[in-house]
Amino acid sequence: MRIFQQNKDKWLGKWLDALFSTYPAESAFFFRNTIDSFSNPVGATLKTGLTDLYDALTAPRFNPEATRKILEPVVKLRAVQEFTPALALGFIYELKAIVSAGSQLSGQEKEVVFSRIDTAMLYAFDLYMENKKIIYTLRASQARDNVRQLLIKKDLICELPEIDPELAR
Amino acid sequence: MVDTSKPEALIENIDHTPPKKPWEEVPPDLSAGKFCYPTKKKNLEYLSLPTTTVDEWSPADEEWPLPDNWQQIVHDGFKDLLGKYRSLKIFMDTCVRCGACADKCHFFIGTGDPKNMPVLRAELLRSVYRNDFTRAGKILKKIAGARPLTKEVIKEWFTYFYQCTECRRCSVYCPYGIDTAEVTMMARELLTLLGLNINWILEPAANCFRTGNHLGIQPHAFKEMIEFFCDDIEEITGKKIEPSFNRKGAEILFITPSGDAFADPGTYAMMGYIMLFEQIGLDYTFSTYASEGGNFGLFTSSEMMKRLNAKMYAEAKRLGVKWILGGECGHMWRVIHQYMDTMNGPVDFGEVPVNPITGTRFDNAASTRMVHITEFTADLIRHNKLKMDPSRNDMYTVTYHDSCNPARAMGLFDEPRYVLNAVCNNFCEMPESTIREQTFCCGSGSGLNTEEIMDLRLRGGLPRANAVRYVHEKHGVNMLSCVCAIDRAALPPLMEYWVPEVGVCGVHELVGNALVMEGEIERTTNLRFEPLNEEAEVEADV
Repeated sequence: MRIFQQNKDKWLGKWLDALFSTYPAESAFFFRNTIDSFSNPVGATLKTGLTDLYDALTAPRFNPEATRKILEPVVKLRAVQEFTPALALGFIYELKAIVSAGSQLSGQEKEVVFSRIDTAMLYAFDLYMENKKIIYTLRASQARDNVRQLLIKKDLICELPEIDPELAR
Repeated sequence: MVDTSKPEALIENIDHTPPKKPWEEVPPDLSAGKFCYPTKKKNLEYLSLPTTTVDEWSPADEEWPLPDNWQQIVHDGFKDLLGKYRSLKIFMDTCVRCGACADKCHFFIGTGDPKNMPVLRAELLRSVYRNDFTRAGKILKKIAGARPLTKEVIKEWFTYFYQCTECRRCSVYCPYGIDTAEVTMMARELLTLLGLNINWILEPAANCFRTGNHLGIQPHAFKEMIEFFCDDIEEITGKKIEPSFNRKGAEILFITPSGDAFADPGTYAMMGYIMLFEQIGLDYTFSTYASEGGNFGLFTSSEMMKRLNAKMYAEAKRLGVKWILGGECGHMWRVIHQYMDTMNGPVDFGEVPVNPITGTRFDNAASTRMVHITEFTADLIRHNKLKMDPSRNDMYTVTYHDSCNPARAMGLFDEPRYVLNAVCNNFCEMPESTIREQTFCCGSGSGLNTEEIMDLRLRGGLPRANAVRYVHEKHGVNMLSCVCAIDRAALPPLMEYWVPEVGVCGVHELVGNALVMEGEIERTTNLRFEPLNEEAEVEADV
């Protein structure tokens, strides 16, 4: 796995380029180059996330749970931005193309890392759907609560009362 | 065996690169879920505003229901606005495209859409201004940055001017002081001339016009709701409170957003106000007609803003009060502080507000007769008129979100913080570049707090949520306080998505918790009926 550490700057740089190229050029420049994380939460999240993800995928020992944790903020962000699911998560597979194009990896190294990338993609898919579900739930809740609280307060509908389990017997 | 492509081949087929076209040639995405629902025609009719040609339509439709002479209507409307507001002409002429505002908009920061850069959003309007009203634009056309008004431009305006929350963060950084929020206001006014406003703005405005508040709550229901809160207060404190409604001769009229009367967590802030007024024996009354602080006219047209604002003052005059105390509201304060005097002033009722408990004269409110509740409460605390037990808020580590309008439109920075520090033991600030005049918007202001664009709101609210997450992780912050009803509606889903461990409250909810009322029973719960002093998650060193 040493080759991944030796080429980290180059490959990670290309990976980040690939990720930022999914945004319009002006925005990609801003996301890539604005350092302050409060002025640029998108860039900061993506840069930190991808760096940590690179390390996790190329570590001597792969920790799936830690990889999932690293993916969480990145996928949360991509899930709420305007991408198709393939575009939102496709950057994960880009690493395969980058390392394939630029090195003489041994068959075994390639197999190990590519398999980890596949695992990461599956996690990312789960996380993506989890976040989409949160968005749909928030949308539905707002629509429901707008009316429901009023109806309850005005006694136009009533909720089932709490039942004392002792009395219910 | 099925012939499937290898992953690498599939990746190669996905084009990740956005089109490299000039912005004028990139059409807005108006597919389902990308736009606010347009207003129903009946709202426009109720407010005597121009209407679209059909009752129901969708921005996703290829052909929009515009009248035949729509271009002339917009041109004449633009000319009229330029004649009325010298500021608009200056804003159209002076921008040098320095880009200082470009990366200051929360929508740009969160979405990466270049048309959310304030400079480019304004350019959507400026390009038409140059084409129609400047000599250079008329002659040199595209070379001078001009473009004709087409139906595509109208679609673009609808998309992006309802993707601006008029928060004015960008204006803080503009070296020329261009108020980009006012550019959005003007663009919306032009769109409204064609009946192109959104339902989440026009329905509340129409309701406000009819029943006095956004929800359409009728007088008896408004009264019952306040009484409902009083029942809760009695259960918590043992104190029975009977506020008055529409009482002539009261010293003060209290007006707050109707959100505080119906939507949690604003309702807890409402309980806080009522408890405070009871404790100090304030001679005040609610009005069931002026039962709304918010003014969605601000997002419609100056005329609508004027009409809705006038209602509050007409009611104050009718009741014969001396002055108005205003609750925790956002854009109401922008209208009061920046526009009201020009539109409806000078005030022809009452007198310069004086706090009857402390004797403080609020000269800053001499012309509007309206005092912000945190100024009022801070004054009471400053004069030791309130007994507080901040430990009742020990379950919270609180931070404060400067709501855009009170912060940037009236400079209300220190009063809320003064109050918060008096009513809770654990308060900490978010990073400097995200508070006070640089505060980040909740992402849902100016009438965009509607569920169909939830994902856009979550993107736009990211910079705010990001700063909250920082103080949550670093200092254990679990409560985000604010002084705006839109915030109290918009921040809970924002937190739910980005920082689910953090709740949202009004400042006066925390006041209500801490306030020691004369003759109260020993409190066992806070205003949310959550047990006090149980499993306090507060770290002593914060």
